[in-house]
Amino acid sequence: MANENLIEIKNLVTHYITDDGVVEAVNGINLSIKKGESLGLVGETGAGKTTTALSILRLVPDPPGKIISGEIIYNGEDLLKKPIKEMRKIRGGQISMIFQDPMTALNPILTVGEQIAEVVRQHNDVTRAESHQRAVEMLEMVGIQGERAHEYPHQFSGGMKQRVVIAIALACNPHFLIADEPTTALDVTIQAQVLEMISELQKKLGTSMMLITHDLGVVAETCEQVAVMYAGEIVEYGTLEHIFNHTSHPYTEGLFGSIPSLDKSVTRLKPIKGLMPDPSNLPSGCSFHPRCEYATDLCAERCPVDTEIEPGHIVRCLKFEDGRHGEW
Amino acid sequence: MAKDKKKNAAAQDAPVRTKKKSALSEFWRMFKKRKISVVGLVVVFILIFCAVFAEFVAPYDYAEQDLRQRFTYPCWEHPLGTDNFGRDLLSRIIFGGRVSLLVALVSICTAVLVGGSFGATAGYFGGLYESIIMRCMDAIMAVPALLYAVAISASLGTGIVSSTIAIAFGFVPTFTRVARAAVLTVREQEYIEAAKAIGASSGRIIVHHIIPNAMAPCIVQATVSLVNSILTISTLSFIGLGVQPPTPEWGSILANGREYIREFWPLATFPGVAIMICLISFNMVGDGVRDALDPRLKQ
Amino acid sequence: MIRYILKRLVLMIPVLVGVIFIIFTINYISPGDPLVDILGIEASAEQRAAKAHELGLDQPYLVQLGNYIWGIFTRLDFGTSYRTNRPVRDEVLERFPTTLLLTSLITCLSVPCGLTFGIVTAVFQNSILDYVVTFIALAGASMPQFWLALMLMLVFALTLGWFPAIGFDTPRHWVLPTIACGMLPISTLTRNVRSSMLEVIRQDYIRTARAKGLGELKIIFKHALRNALIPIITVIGFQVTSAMAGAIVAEQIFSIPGMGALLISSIKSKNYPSIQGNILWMGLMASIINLIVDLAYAYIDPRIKAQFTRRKAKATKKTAEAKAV
Repeated sequence: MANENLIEIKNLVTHYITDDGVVEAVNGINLSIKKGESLGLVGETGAGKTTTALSILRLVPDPPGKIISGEIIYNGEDLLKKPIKEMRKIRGGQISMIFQDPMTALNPILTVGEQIAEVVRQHNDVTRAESHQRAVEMLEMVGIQGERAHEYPHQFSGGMKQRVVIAIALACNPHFLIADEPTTALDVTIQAQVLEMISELQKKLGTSMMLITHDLGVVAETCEQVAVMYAGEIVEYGTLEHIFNHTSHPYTEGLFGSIPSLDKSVTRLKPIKGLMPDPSNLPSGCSFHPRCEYATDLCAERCPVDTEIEPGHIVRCLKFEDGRHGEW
Repeated sequence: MAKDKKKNAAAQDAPVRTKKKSALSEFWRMFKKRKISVVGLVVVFILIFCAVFAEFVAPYDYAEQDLRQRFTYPCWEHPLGTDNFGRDLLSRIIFGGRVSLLVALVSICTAVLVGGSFGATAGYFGGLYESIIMRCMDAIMAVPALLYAVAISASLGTGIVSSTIAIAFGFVPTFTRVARAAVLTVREQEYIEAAKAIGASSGRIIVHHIIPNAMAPCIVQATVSLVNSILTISTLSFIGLGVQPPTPEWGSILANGREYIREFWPLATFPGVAIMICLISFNMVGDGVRDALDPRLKQ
Repeated sequence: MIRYILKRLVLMIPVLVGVIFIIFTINYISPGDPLVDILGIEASAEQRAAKAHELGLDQPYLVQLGNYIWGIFTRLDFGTSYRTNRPVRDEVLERFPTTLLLTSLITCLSVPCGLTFGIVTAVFQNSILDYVVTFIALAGASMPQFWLALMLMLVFALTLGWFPAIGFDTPRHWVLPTIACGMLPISTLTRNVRSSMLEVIRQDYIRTARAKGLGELKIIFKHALRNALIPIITVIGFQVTSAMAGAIVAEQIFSIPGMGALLISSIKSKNYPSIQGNILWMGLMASIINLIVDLAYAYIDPRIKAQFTRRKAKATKKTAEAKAV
């Protein structure tokens, strides 16, 4: 099983050490993604999704960010132990990332063609002309006319810019693609187009993908595996089927309760009460307990551990520990 | 789109006027973080104290001559030595600071008021009025401020008042631009529309909404300009256009020291050290102010 | 591009007229009587009236101003020096090469130094090197140029005797004035480049560049520096024009026969046409430097360049989008 995994994250802990305290952005998460598979990483803003993604590429801004411990095994090697030179060969070449905000992700003073060609040149032994040829191809692949390669980012609309960002990420046929909320900054009408394009390209190129989002609908459409993240931890992890049909963790339940459904008639949506805890001052015990409907005194004292409630379906909740199966 | 976000952010914190106090304490919290700026602030306070209470701080009067003690090197009686008339150099530097700081502060305040009101009205009313004001400012900006200061002092004559005017003139366009830019960003906000909708007068909108928002960038610019104005007044005095002897001013003491540079180095050295200490601390405060206010300034 | 340059040149004319207007008016409102300065107190009323008529001083303000502006634009005539009775233009032009040389030297010293120090301190932020250079830059930005000039003269000319104290004949003479005037621009540039670089390094597109696997050098020079330079170009322009103004003082201290020295002596002798001409000439130079700055902007920032080719770009974009649909 381990051999099939393209990438495996074990006990990753990433903190931001600031003057005002330590922000515990990622607290020991475990994930694995197989070749060609796509995983959805779901959670509220500030749950540590982006930090997880940046940790994989070792792009967490340092200072203040620090990867405290853990392993990220990619093709049998720990990325966190690789020298920075090796890491550069992997970034953009084998693992690449689509960033959240296309408005700021592109360099305003370089042509989009050059920005694509640059990554091609970095990882392949090609001439300048060949790399620009490839850039034109990539632009056409994401649905932008090739002749616009010599234009600058300010000449493109938001959706177009995101396409360029995608073209950069896919230009070297990466084995693993991290898409960090690729549609959040876009209009609803364009969101669907871009998502469709990403998953189409992903299937065509046989790339594994980690899709970061706070939108469960997006996950349902594109992913086979789902990990639900809360306050730097993965609270529920399983296949799409597990998460959607055997929803177990109270937080995941809450997420589903807060989106409208077509087949149930409810008069009011049920939002999760309270706010995400301050990551520099997490509650004791289970970090979700102050907002949890089922919380008991024990929840404030003991940190839950991963419990596999059915093969491949992991929940981190005291409710499921010691074979309780969700019953207290 | 990113712009919109920032606009919203600005709109959220701008109309809440009861928050003013907390904005000040927030500013102080941010400012405190840079220890070096706090050190600068302490030095600035000491300098201002010395300037205001020069009569009590200085060991001698600035004009007190003692011709038997000309060109004394630093000693217990005269910590920084004496000049060509046997006047105590330390006392002259302390009194000189009073003139330099006064001229610099008054000229910057003048420039802030004049430039700020031109800029605020230009930004608010727009149209032909704005174009005329801004083209005039372009013309002023085209020539380095020092040259205007020289031209005006040469024309109006020397003395504290004309130096102040001369220095203030060159700084007006800076504040016009800063204020106008601030107003232009504020003008588009929805709460200004709302204020207009409930029938607030232009004057009221400017005083209650626009000026508070233009404050932060003006303060940052003023601390930076203060350093330049101190440099300008001492330069003017040095070339004989600013404050005239016997009134001590750092630049004019240095001009005097230049005459005797071959024979007696302290006279050309210590006033400059005083200027440097003063400007370093102003710069440190300026850096701190900028950093503390910056998050709101980023445009 | 040529159209852009022409457009900028045309836009320069009103600015220059404005500068002339301001300087002329400043001199006009001077409380002193130029006739007294020229002829002396003893001159008779007829002599004074004749002189006033000869110089056009009996005409109303607007006519005088109009004649002055007309003279400058048609004949490059800045008036006649009261002292020497020679055209101010000729006197200024005699002195100008020296000032230009000094200004160029200052620019050539301060721009490379300021950029290098700024980049190095930003890249090695919070290292000992950063602290040391940043502090020196802080001190350098807090020093009056004339005092630094005096100190350099005291130490390197009068005490050590390494460089001559006065004059501007050989490259050895150039060293001290250039350093004295260069310190402020170097320090200001260092501080500005550093903060601009730090600002840019935090941007998302730098993270994108890192995610592409580019090396640090490429990230700094290709991605960060060019963006960081955009606000810096203005600072450079401002520093060069200020250096030119600052040269007035340095010229006086080192007895350099440049425009600054001429300006100071004109002020001392209340030679108004000469004062005006000098300042206007410097203003003209400053405007040309500002023009170069504007052009450099357009070269480095495609968004500015787009402003003068906007129509063309919009057209292509529209057709492209139409085709895409």
